[in-house]
Amino acid sequence: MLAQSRQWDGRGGRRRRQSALARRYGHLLFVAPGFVFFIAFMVLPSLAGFAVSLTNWTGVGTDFSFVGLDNFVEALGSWPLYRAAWHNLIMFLAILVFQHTVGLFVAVQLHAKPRFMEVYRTILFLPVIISLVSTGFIWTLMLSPNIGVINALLKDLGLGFLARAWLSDPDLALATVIGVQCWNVLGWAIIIYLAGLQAIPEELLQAAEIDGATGWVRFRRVVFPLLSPSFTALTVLTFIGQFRVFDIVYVLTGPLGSPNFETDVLATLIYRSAFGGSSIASNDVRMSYAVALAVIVFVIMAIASTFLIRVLRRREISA
Amino acid sequence: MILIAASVLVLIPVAYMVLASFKTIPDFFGNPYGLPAHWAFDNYTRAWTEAHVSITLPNTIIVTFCSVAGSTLLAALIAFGLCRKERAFALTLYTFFVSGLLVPVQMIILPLFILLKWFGLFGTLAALILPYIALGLPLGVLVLTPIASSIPRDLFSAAQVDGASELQIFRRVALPLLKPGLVSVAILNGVWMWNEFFIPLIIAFTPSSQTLPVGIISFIGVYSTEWGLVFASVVISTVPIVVAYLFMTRQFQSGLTAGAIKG
Amino acid sequence: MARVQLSGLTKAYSGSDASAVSDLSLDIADGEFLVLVGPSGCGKSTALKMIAGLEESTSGEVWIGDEMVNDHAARDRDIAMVFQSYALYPHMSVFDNIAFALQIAKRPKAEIRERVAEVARILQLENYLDRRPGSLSGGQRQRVAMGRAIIRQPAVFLMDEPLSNLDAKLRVQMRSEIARIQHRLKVTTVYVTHDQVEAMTMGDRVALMRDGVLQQVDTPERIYNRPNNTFVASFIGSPSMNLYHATLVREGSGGRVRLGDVELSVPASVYESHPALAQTNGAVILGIRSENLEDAVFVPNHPEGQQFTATVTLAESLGSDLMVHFRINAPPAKIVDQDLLDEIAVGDDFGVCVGRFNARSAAKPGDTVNIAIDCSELHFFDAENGRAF
Ligand SMILES: Nc1ncnc2c1ncn2[C@@H]1O[C@H](COP(=O)(O)OP(=O)(O)OP(=O)(O)O)[C@@H](O)[C@H]1O
Ligand SMILES: [Mg+2]
Repeated sequence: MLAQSRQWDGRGGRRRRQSALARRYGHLLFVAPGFVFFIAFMVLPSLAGFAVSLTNWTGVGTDFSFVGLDNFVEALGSWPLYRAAWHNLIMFLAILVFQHTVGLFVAVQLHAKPRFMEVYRTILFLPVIISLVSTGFIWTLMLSPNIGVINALLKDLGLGFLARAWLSDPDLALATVIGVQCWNVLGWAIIIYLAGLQAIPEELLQAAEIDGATGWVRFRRVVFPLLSPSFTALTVLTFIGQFRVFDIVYVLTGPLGSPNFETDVLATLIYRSAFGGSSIASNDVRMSYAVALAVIVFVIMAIASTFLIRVLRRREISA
Repeated sequence: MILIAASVLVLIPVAYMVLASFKTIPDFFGNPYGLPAHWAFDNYTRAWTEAHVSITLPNTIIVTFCSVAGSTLLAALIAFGLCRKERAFALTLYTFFVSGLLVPVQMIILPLFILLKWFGLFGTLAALILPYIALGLPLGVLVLTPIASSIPRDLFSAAQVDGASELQIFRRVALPLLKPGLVSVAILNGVWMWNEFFIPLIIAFTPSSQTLPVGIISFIGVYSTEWGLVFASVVISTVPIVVAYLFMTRQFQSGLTAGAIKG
Repeated sequence: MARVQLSGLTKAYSGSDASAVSDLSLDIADGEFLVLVGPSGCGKSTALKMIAGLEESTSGEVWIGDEMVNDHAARDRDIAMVFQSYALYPHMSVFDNIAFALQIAKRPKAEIRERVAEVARILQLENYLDRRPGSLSGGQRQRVAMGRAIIRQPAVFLMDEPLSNLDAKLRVQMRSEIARIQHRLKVTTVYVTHDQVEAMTMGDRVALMRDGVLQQVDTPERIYNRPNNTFVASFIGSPSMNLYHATLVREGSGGRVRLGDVELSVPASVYESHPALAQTNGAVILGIRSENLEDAVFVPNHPEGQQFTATVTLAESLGSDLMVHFRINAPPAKIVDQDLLDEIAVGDDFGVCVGRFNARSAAKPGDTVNIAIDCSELHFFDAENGRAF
């Protein structure tokens, strides 16, 4: 049987030559389809976007001219940019603190393997997969001053004096937006920290215990340093998320970041500049200016996240 | 205790969303947090027709499915093409694709808009699918390339000796071994594409090509007081992904975490 | 079916300055079974991969049949290979692993089943066909890897230590099985092994490499009896050949060799078979195979000049033989190879010599025994470069 016809592969002795080119670069054929897509829908638009940012094009018509870096100069000298960036920064910091305290705390509780741990974990992660748009709607209604459940509940509990116009009070709006986001992103912190905690070898904790470190000391000196990778991941994730945040602000407080731009962020600012908010006259819409803003955000984010990853990774190693 | 409290806090808004979708307008005013006085099931039937959910739901499903399939497959091809370290340009291309993660959508959306118009794709679902595929690639490459690189080289060599062409090696050896990574990427991108709001907000403005999140928004302008209707749409848009999540909790969690930690 | 020729084959991995294989030239006849041996890291696997087309050569040519195949992809070279790392597809059953090549070639299902069944029978894998490689032992995996190769009838078999993980009994069985298959199919085979017995028994010829350089290619007998240099001498044979610095002086038609405080006479027959020895007077490296040493009790009437006494340091019984270690007051010749150094050099001024004695010998540690040495089987190497005379 084994000795049967050697022509088993149907190719017989016919052998194909393979050029050096094919051998060296053949693998690029696998990259090509993705590469084409990537170039067409990512790279070209990016470059085109950059090109547009150097003109004064409004977004409609063909009437435009090259204006060099004017848009950038104007953007960097304009107050709304800094105001929006400031709001992004506050959101980032507030949510960062929330994630690294509450999120970590809940993760530690979960790690202790209580009964129904799986159930808790499933529930607590749930908001992450619910879209920011849906989240926004749910909370818009819940926070609504007249038909919202929150104020109604407060009143019925005799805490009516706490009822507020959560999303239209200039002093509260930003905090409320942050609070809603906390609800949506807590799952990330839990799941990332939980993964980190589960990666810590049991023996290490036992060794620490033998060395006399227990409770809080053990957590701070042994466990927390070992959670560095989780800390890094979560920080970077939060950073990127918060400096890009758009959907939830758009739904909760609209493209204007109302009230009075108190919740205006970079993404809504760019959106408004490009497509106009409902109450802005259309002559204020300048596509080129919007794209220049986006380029600025891109550059800052690229620099900041590279920097952030560097610093945090270094900390991981030295920890 | 803490966990119970946290879970309740998480569940209340979700429950509220479901309840609200059955309420009538008077109910919202008279009975903000109780059960609906009268279960308004017709919120759903009305959402289905008046809020165009009958169009946007299939749209979202098609767009998400095609984009996830497309970008996962293309990313797997790229990962396979790049996975052997000494291959020409491998590192450069890897960096090139992954750096796409940093590009803000706002920067490319307008040229994208023009490009799609130019291709005559406006008003078709392809106008969303094609960019989604491209936008899903950076993450796919980021997650899959290291997994592909960790496949022992000898496996590919063995397949070569066994007479397999590169395409057969990809399909019969690499792809099955990439499976856990593929699931992660598919989920990560799938959640994102299902929920994406900004891109369809700009690109898909005709109802026939809208997806759920945008459909609801444009609907709210018309019926801004009809909260029951809005929430029926919200529930419809949320249920499929939540069901998928409940069925594959573990894969969702590990998949999303893998992407997050790498990203 | 196919002659394999390598000429000037060289491989330098990018990132390392030393070549893994340098200037390897071999001519493997059609149907020949060539065994490739050498210490770890000497480039055996690399050489195989270059023949297979899995690793591109830096320079040199590979010919299979009458075709230069440098430009052919691995799948067009008509070879089958057993990988040192097994390289089994972890996601496929044993059956699919073995059948993969046939499936790729789109053979009819029935034929595939039949052939897999036969291979499984030969390799005693019938009970594992449905399992995944992950749930197999090392030896079982190795047999699957073997099966994947022998199910085909390629022009060339390349086998990289295919039996290294099997237990002694199975190894003997598989060895003869491979030999039988190879014999029947008459497929040109290059077989890498670390095992002395495999090297000596299976190969039509044995090729020995060191640091990427081919040292000697010869029939097992010749490579054992006429090693080209001290490296070959010490590598082939177990225990390795005893090698010492010694002084050789011509005397009449024969000679005398001084080994520390021992003097042995070299019969004229040695000079006749090694003409180059005639020009030598002075320092040499003397090689003695352990089986040429014997307890003098068992060799009555052994010539006077071919005996010496030594103190036994260790006696190990193998059942059939008694391996006796004793001190010799002569500096051992060092082979510049870390692995072998430990075995050969124990001290600087005296060496340990191993003799294979009759199992009934009474030698035990501490004894001073009279040892008979078969001086017609002595090996002499140049003290400068280790080359054989
Ligand atoms: N992919 C590679 N890149 C760089 N160097 C390599 C690579 N593969 C092997 N080498 C080097 O080439 C030399 C020869 O390796 P090879 O695997 O051929 O040795 P070998 O004789 O098969 O050893 P062993 O008996 O341990 O299997 C070694 O020094 C090794 O470190
Ligand atoms: Mg090897």
